Amino acid sequence: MRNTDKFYKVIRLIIIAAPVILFVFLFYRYLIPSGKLAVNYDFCNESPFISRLSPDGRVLPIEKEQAFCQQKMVIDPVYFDVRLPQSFRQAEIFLEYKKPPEQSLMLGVRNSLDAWSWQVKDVVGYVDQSGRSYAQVFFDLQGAVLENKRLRFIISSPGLETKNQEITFYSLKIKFSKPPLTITSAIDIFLRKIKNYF
Amino acid sequence: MKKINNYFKMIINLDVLELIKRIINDVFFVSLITFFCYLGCELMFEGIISNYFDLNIILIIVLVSGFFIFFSSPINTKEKKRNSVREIHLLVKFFFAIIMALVIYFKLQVFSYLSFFVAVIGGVIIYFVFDKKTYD
Repeated sequence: MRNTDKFYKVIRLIIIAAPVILFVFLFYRYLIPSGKLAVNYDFCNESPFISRLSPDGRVLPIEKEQAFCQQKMVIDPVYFDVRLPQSFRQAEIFLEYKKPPEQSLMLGVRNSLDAWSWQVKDVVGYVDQSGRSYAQVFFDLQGAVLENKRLRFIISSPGLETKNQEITFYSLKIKFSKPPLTITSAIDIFLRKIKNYF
Repeated sequence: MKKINNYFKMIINLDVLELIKRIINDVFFVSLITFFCYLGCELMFEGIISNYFDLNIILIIVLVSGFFIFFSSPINTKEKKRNSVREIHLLVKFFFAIIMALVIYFKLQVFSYLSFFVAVIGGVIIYFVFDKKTYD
């Protein structure tokens, strides 16, 4: 056997094995065995998990500065969706924003698909010297509903447009959590997904 | 100078070029199959691939390796295929070309007219590249 043939066989094995290994890795990430998923959106790059703020018009186009990106909310309310591979028990949201001190800000998660029902919480954050605020909000997702594997959040600031004010968002980070995956729960999830698909 | 010349002859000999062609050939077919398998998984379980991996990377590998095979000379073959096998082969490659062209078109829709041209070129490449897989 020539050296090139041996080399070719090794390379061929690598070429065939690479997509299989990659798939196993992606499937492992998809299962989220630890029960913890952290997703973030910095407005500079699209996130596979978090959608852009919508609808257009209520938020201005994303502004890209040298070191960061930002988006301004001018009309109340705006929404964003989070695409989740599974349902979670809790969500811990970290928000970086800038708003006028007198303007209130609320964050909510949708509780029902049929009715206008949201679990809303006040956003109260620490303000640094530059005027940026950093807030942390907890949500219990037991009552939250997923539509097409998407969890809808609302950002509300009543009277924003009438006062001609704006709120600037810099980053959004969400930590989802649920009990860690066991073999039985993994089989249960897999069967449920197959059943849902068919 | 003579040493350098020999060195290049040693590296760029026929076996190495043939080896590279075979490797790229394998890369093309494996990445093509991988692309469709991943796409199927993504359609069934949304996010399983796209949450952590950009499927366009595989699409680029398919197109680049296909482009290379399209413009390279065919790998040596021993005998021609029978007519019935050739007809099935023709249908299979036509099917793959159409599917690939559609996938490229829908994935690149943001580029408007350009997506149509890239899809047509992609489809043509896939169609003709199947003829190049002739090594025994």
